Amino acid sequence: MADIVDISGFTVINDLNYQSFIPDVAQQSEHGMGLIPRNFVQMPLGALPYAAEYDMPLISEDEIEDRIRTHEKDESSLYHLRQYHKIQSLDQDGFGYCWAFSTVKAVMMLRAAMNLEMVVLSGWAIGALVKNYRNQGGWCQQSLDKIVNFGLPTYKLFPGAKREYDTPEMRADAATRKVTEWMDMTPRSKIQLASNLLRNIPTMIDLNWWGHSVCAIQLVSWNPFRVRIDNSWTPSWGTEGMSILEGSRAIPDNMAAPRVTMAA
Amino acid sequence: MKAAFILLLAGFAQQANPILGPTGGQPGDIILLDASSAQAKAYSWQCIPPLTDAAGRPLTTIVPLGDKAIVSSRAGTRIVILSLVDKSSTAERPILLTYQWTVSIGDNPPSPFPPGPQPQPPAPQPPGPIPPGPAPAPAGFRVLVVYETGDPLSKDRTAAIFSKEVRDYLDSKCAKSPSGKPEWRILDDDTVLADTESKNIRDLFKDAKPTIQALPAVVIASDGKFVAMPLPENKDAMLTLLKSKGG
Repeated sequence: MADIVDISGFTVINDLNYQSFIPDVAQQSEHGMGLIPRNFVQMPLGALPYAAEYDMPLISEDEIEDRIRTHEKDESSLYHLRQYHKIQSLDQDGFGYCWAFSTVKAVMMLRAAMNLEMVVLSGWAIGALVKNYRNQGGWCQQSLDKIVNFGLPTYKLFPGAKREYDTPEMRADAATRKVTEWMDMTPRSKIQLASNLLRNIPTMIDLNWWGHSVCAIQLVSWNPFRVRIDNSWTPSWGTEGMSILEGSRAIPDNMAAPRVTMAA
Repeated sequence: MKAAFILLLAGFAQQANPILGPTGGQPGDIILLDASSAQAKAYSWQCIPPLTDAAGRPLTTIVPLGDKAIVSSRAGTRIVILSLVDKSSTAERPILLTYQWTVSIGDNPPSPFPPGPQPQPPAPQPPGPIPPGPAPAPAGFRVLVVYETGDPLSKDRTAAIFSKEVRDYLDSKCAKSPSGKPEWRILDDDTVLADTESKNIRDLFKDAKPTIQALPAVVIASDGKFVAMPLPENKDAMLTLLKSKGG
């Protein structure tokens, strides 16, 4: 059966080739990753402040293909919104802040879905403020928790991991973009991820095999399970900064999603 | 056993007319009829007489939205006929009820029927609450979709708010903020609007929220007035509704 979504031109990362996408030490310094797998014993589902466990009704598997087809026909997925608004991939520039950049991209996509002002937001602010300016890894709920409590400034006001960017103006700007509802999600749940993406809820996915966190923006197909991701390695990586994860490579070891953000 | 089929006319059946809505208005108004109180199993809306343009091509007279319907607001008098399958129906004993509602648009609307032998005059309309009329809003066309994100939209309603066709229409017709951003938004009903959000959007959300009777809803502001109504069931109904107010 022909694919519903045309992915020609996009790199597909699967079980056969995934090792070639894991940077070696030298490349890692160029791109940066930084995922620390979440410890579910210490932080089980439902234990995080402000984060409800996934509480939305799931989309029936029987309905998924039809929804993918409708998204494609109407150009209504998050991927289509990204192209419509010309939203580019972010750049973590060799730092281990993937867990912050994936969340910031998810908030930018949520703002696109709400038709809010399109501004580039700062993954640097979240990574640096959570880690006290150290270049350290983390997982996506850490960054989302920061955005819930502190907010999210523009890239213009916080363009790097430097203390000089922490100004009253930046803090006031950040406070206008807090996330007010978000969901902690069951690890490795394909149906939760699919339900989110088919409802245009951008989702951060932490992938232990990659040591990396990225933002999922489209369910391309259910069988095989394919998800389009937006990476934070500049638009020069993959296709305009995006690629397709397939099969077991697309199943997240940890994930979360912002559902409502302040309008600013 | 052969199923009995019962057709009851509202007047004979002594059933209260479940239709709520205006009985009059001006061209350009949104005439929304609401029969949701019937909690029926199925609804069918019709409108007479048919309308045509100058070239004789048929025009839409009514847009069914499940338990609600939007009626054309071209000048004239039209009769809306609602047939519904009563909530107490069973497969063995289906009950079909029929009601009617008359709407007159314009100050001196022409009769819905040409001169000649006149039918029985329509029965007086039962009294019913009339929804509040459009409330003041800033000049310009603005649209808010308001829903509860924890209560997800159907596939067709998702398309009604995210499809490129709807986005293109809204981008082209809505008033622009000073930064050039078209002033339409898709908001959770609990969204907090920061002071940096457009004042027009903030004011519209604040004023419209108390008038929203059920979610999901769409709030349409035009010509200095706004009205809140149920979010249409699909993309085509959404575009029809938007175009009726946004041109």
